[in-house]
Amino acid sequence: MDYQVSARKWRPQTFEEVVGQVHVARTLTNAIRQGRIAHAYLFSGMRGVGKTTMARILAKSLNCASASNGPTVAPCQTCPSCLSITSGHSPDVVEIDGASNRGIDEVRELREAVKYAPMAGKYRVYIIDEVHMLTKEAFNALLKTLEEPPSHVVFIFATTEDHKIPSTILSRCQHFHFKRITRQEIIAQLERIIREEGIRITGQGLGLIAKAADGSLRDALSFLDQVVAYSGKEVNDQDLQVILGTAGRGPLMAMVKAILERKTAEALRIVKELADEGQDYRQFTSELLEYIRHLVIAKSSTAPEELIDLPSEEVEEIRQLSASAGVEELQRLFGIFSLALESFRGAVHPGFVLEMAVIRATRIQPLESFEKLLERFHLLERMLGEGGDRDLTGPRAEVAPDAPAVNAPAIKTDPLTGSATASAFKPGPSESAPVKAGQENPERSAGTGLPMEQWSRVVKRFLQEKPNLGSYLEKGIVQEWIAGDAKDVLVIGYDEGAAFFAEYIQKEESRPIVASALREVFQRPVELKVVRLERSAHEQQQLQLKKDQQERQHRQRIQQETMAHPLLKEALNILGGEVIDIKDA
Amino acid sequence: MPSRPGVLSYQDFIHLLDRGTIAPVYLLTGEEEFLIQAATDRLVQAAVDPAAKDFNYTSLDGEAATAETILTAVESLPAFAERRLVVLKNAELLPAAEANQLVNYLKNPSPTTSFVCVAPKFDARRSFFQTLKAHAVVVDCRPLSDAQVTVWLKAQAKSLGRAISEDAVLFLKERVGRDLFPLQNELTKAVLGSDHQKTIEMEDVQRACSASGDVSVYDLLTALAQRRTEPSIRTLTRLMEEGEPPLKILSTIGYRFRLVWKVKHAMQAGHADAALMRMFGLGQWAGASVIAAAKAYSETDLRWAFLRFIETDAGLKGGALSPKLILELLVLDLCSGKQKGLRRFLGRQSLLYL
Repeated sequence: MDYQVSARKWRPQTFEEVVGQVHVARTLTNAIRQGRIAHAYLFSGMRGVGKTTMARILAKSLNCASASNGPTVAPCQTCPSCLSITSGHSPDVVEIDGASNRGIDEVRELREAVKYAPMAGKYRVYIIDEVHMLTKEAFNALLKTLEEPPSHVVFIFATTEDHKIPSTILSRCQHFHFKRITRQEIIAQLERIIREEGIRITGQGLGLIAKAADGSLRDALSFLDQVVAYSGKEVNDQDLQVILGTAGRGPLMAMVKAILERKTAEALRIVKELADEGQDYRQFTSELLEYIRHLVIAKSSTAPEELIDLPSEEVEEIRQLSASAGVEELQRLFGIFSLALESFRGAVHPGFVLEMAVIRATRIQPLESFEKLLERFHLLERMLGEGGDRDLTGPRAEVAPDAPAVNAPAIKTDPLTGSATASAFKPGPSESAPVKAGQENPERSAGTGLPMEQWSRVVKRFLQEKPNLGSYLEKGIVQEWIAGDAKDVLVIGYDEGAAFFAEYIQKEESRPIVASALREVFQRPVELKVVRLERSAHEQQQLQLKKDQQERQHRQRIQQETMAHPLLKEALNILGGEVIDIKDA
Repeated sequence: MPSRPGVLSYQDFIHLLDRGTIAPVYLLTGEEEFLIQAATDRLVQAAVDPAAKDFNYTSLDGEAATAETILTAVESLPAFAERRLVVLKNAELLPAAEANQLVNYLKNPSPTTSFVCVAPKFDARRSFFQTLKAHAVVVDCRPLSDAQVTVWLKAQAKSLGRAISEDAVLFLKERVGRDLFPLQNELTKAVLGSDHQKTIEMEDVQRACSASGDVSVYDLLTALAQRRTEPSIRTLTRLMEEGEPPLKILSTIGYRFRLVWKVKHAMQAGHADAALMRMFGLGQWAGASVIAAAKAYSETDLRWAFLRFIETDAGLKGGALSPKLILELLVLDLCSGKQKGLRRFLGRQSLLYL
């Protein structure tokens, strides 16, 4: 007997047998029962979901010779018409490949042909596959037929890309969208087939096939044929993983465990194993992302089994694993690997991309929630208050919450450890009680505690008095503030492209002028340290945005404070008028 | 909509046909293809004997026809019947030189022929059309107004043996638009998809219009309106599994949030719920969902939601992440709101600096 691929051997022959498209089958069978056959149907949906199959079944229903009263919902499968349609030789059912018959000449021929009555059945059925491939002219020609179709003709168009069909054609067709077939439906169909064929595959194996098929039953059956060709009728999960090129849940789980337990070496070993097995890094990363998504869902949902499309024992495993991680941490892992996935595009060494992502993932520290940080903040406030150095709950605390708290010691949150430390820089002239924190680790001083306002005052002063030097200083970006006993150090960074400005500022003649300005603004000796920044274009852009935002916030604050000033209010009240401009003196 | 002087509305035209009045020359004009098709079909039905249709019915196209072929067709006598029908489609495409040769015929048409000129749009200054307008029965086939579409949908449902609920009508109009062909297709699908109930309800049209059979993107909107994470994710998962295109999901959410924002503004101006529903033409179902969302989302949340839509759009069009994951992140963020969502958002962005 000739070998037939499973997709053909198990092609459904009745409406009931079509998997996963109940909504279409029900509408079509009702249409047949009620005699409301449309002249044109459009079946759209991804590959392998039953569009052509449904078209053939409809053709059979329309032309079945055993039905005495016209179309039937249950074609007999034995009459000459049904048999010839099954074998693809029916003179009344014409299947046309739209991709290779896409020109106006072919459609003109079709227009001529549709005039002739069917030879054996009641209808001539034209099934045009991949109809979106027709040219614009061909569609126009087809439209004329659709506008006045002979009563004995039914068109069934099938396409994977319905958005490419002109609206004039769309509006003349009854459009059915075919669903992706769910994993459960694919698994159920595969179970039926392997039972009939005497093939042995585990439930997990069927799950792997269904997952790889990604909604297409035809793909699932092709995979089944491949694994049977590879391993015979006894298929084990390892063989399946080799054929499908998936990592299986073992490595995924091992990787997530290694990351959550911060075992960098173990995680790298898994990457190496993947390389040895010839696995696709992109595919692995993609599966890892899905796994992390499952962990997030397991953490956030009370009924994760409804949202995670996996067997219940795997969901339980995921639920247990998720207990050892926080949602925020998982979100960050998700971010790391989604960036890695982006970076694979055009990467010369994708393995390195994955390794770097894995190293980064094993080294991130768990984030603390805002609520906990706030708690720490209050604790710190209390501690400082008890020390008597400064009353942080005093008048300063009345500053609008949105305004940057430049005069209050800032709480710096270490992005790596999540621990909060108090830092202080010398406040403006109005402040007299300095609050000192220990010298900070330079790596940890990004964030809120930088003396942005004082720096902008320094820059502004220079812009007015020495515009050249001012504009050079303006290019600098405040990097760090290191509080010291004798003097503080302000670190300003310059990008690669601004190296000239950095040099100019460090010149012998510039240094004293800058130093005296700093002393004046900060009211104590401040050393200016200039560093060179090595940044990517994106980082530079982000920094520029940050700088602009800081500038905007500064302006807004000045404006708010000015408008709230009682003197100004009184002046406006007595004299009338409006505020046109506010200048920062 | 009152018809213009000298122009019959579609309903009046049908009324006259039903009374047996068939004119020798017709001009069907307007851009509602469904009405033109329906008017032509009714004329064929009324004027042509089905047994001798091959002899007495001629369909020509102004793009290719000549005056000679048209005159031959209209001046021929009917065979085995009282009347013949000649339809000239795209009459506006007939070259002026050819069209002018028909002017005399229009002034003195054959009593045994009905000559139907179909011209969705035409240049009224051309002498052919001036004569045509003066001597033909002009039938207005312009697109229907919103209110007329409602009446039309109810009549169509009735002709299919069902009634249709107000909500279902509103939903169809919102989802499909006012073009009658697609409306008729979706209505027919809804009738055929629902078994034997007397009235077509909201769920029937939802099912017919959605890509998937059992769940629609509107279920997702309802869950999002209430900011319920689990039902939202569950519905999204099913939508994606069942093949609803991701960009379509996003654009529907975006469209709905635009409406929510507008409603929120009107709400802040002090309009009551009933007034809001009238102002925005919302049905009972859509109205409840939109108003609930307008109450559940703050102005800040809405502004931020639109930024997330842009980000999601870019991710769907060019990102490496799977569309399902991208949309899930959006849904999680919409449900949790700006405060928590922003943290997540920044969390992802800040990874660039790690």
